[in-house]
Amino acid sequence: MKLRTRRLRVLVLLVAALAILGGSATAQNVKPKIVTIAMTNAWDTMMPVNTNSNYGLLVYDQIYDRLVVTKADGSFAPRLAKSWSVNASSTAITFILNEKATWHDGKPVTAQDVVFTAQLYSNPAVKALARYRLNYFAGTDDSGAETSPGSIAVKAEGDYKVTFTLKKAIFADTVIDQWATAFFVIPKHIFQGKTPAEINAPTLWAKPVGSGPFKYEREITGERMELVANKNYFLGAPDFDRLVIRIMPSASLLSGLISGEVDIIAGGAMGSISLDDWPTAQKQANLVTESIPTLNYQTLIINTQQPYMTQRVRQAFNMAINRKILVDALLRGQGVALMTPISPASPYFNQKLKDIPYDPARAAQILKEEKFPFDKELVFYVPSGNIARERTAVLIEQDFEKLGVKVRIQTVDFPTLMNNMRSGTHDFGIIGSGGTLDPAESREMVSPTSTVNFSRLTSTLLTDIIDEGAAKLTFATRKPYFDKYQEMVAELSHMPYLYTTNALMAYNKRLSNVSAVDFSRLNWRAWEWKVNN
Amino acid sequence: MAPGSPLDALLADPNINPAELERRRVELGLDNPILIQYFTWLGQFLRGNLGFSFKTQRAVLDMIAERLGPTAILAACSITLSLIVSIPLGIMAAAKPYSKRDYLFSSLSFLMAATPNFFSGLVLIYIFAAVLKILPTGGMYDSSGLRNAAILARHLILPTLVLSFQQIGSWIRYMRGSMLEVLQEDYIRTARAKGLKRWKVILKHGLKNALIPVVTVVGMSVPSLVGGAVVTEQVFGWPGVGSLMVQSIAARDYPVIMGITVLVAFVVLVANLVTDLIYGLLDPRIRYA
Repeated sequence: MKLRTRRLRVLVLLVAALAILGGSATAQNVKPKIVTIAMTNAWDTMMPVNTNSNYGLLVYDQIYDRLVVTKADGSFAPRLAKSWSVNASSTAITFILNEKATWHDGKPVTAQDVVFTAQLYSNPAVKALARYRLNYFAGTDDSGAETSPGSIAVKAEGDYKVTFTLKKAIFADTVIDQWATAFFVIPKHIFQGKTPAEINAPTLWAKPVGSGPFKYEREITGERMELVANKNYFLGAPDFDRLVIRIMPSASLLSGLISGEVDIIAGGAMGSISLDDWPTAQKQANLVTESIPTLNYQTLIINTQQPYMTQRVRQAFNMAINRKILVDALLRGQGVALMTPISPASPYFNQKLKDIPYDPARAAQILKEEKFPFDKELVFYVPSGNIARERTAVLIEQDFEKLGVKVRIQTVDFPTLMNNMRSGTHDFGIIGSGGTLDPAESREMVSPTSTVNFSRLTSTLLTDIIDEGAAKLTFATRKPYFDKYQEMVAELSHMPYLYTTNALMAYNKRLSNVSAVDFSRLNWRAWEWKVNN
Repeated sequence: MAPGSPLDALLADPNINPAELERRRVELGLDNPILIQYFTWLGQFLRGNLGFSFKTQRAVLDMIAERLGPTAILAACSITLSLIVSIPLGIMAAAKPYSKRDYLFSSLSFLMAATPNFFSGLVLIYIFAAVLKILPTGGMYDSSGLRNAAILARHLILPTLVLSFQQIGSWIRYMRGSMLEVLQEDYIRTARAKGLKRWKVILKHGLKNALIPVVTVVGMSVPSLVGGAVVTEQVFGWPGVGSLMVQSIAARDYPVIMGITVLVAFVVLVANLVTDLIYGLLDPRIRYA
């Protein structure tokens, strides 16, 4: 009797458990269209201008609008601004805003909002790590801060026209690429009258009112943000009801895509398929895969201030690196060998620059001629976290050992790497960059006054040529300077550039009209994605 | 102190202006000597304020509070599962030492204790999420927008299993060893001599005493689960204290690191107190004045 009662209890419990699970399944039968996008790290703030992290940009891009966006080919596409023009002297950029744009609370987006945003971001009392993007404009200092209250040179002319005046004539594409594509406009009617302390507090930004294609709904910190479609979005209502931005470890991205838990990944450094997983991803019937050339690069850094690191020695190390092995074996062909920071995907790439030959015998000969101290153990700092980069370091170590050079790899986290390389305790380091279409992107890495001058250059030869090129106002007049810059980089060999990697993208076949090629330009255009449930 | 400062993480963007960096350094108080920074933090702490995150500018207390719930749920499930599995297996192994059953459970416990969490995590994700597609790869909820116990339970299965693996492995060993020792005691022999059945002796007379060392081990595990389920939380994207700790260390976000350290210290105290109280319940001879 007792046994029967116990069995009955177990049965009741099982039925109850199934009912709970079944209940959730029933509720899921009403199928809203949901898209889940995954990236590997969380955003650090909801203040769009107070971050240098790209992870936040994916979030802001859905909630707010930027003036324009960049496409993979380097051209710009409208967003909040439906058109823009540069004056004849290249000292002012005028944007015409889309008059259909409204905030999520229904109020119209006007030129006054753009002016207010620029003034708020340039206020030094407001926390804004990316304020430097404003330093092109008259009325700001080198850090992008206003020189007096409201001094930034931005003027609304009517409700939908706004003009930004530059400090000096400059190639407008650079300003648009570096600033306008990351200038997220915020609503004046929400922030007006708030003190800097109130603006700096996260509370005001926690439930954002934007003008973007999705409205904020809720989040689980460090795990997800849930957004609902803005059915009144002025560039077209999204084809789906909800967008969930998930934070997932990179090792789980492919599993999530295969299981259907994730529909698409953020792309680039924010979430791509790993090289190890790429063959598996390509075999999946439910996935579209794309290997997309990018502007990113990995570079070896040589501390030029070590007495034995003469230019000839650096050139020897440069020619001792077997880039073919790095690209063919390590990157499985999903990349291209580089000699300079400018990738073949950039219009500024110097086609005439010859590849540095892989010639270990010649390299060993040069080291002997230069009386290189072969008994010295050289310190090679490698940042942890990027497996391909860690393996690259090991292969380079082996290349150098073939020359008879002793190298000790020290894998450290990023802040430690920064600290140690700034203090000059390294011989070698390895570092990567996302790269941009701006050929002057690597300027800070070679500027003697920069905090990231890890090769410890003391000459301004490179920055001079970059600055001369950057001062020219057309692509045709700029190109020769950046061609020369690339030749000088190869010659100096202070930073032997290694390779650029393709972004390995994958998304579920239920999605279409996805321009994954633009993702690495931080341009997702999620409202254009079509979903087949 | 680890090399590098919170500002080093910001240097990932080489365009950040040195003036902005300096402004941030002063704002965060990093221009002060380390001792001054510490006593400033201590003063705030004594007033109940754990300070603000260098990275997010949010109150540390809020950041930890919102991570504590997921961590507590995962830790509670893991401890419960580990106890449910390890205690019976440990008892069964000890009841018939050096038998096939004992060897089987002992081998199992060694295997579980020796399997690293990241490995078992990835294997389970591959099997249950990628191949069988019956369980999620991670996170707390699915994308449906619903948040109920059933969905949470599905998401808890794999991280709980992974977090429990090593515990079950080592707790089986503790339970077995402790029970073996107790079974050698005179009062057990006396109970058997009085004609009591073997399992009744084990469960009624042996179990309580054998549990005392196990309770100590379980008590010691709680703080590490609260502050240190790092690998499991990372592998499954579980938004708990462990993953916050890893992110904070990577960013040298000292106020958050200090906050979590204080939390773990507090949990150690509470766990020790609860452990001592359970000693009293298990063995009436233990009394606290």
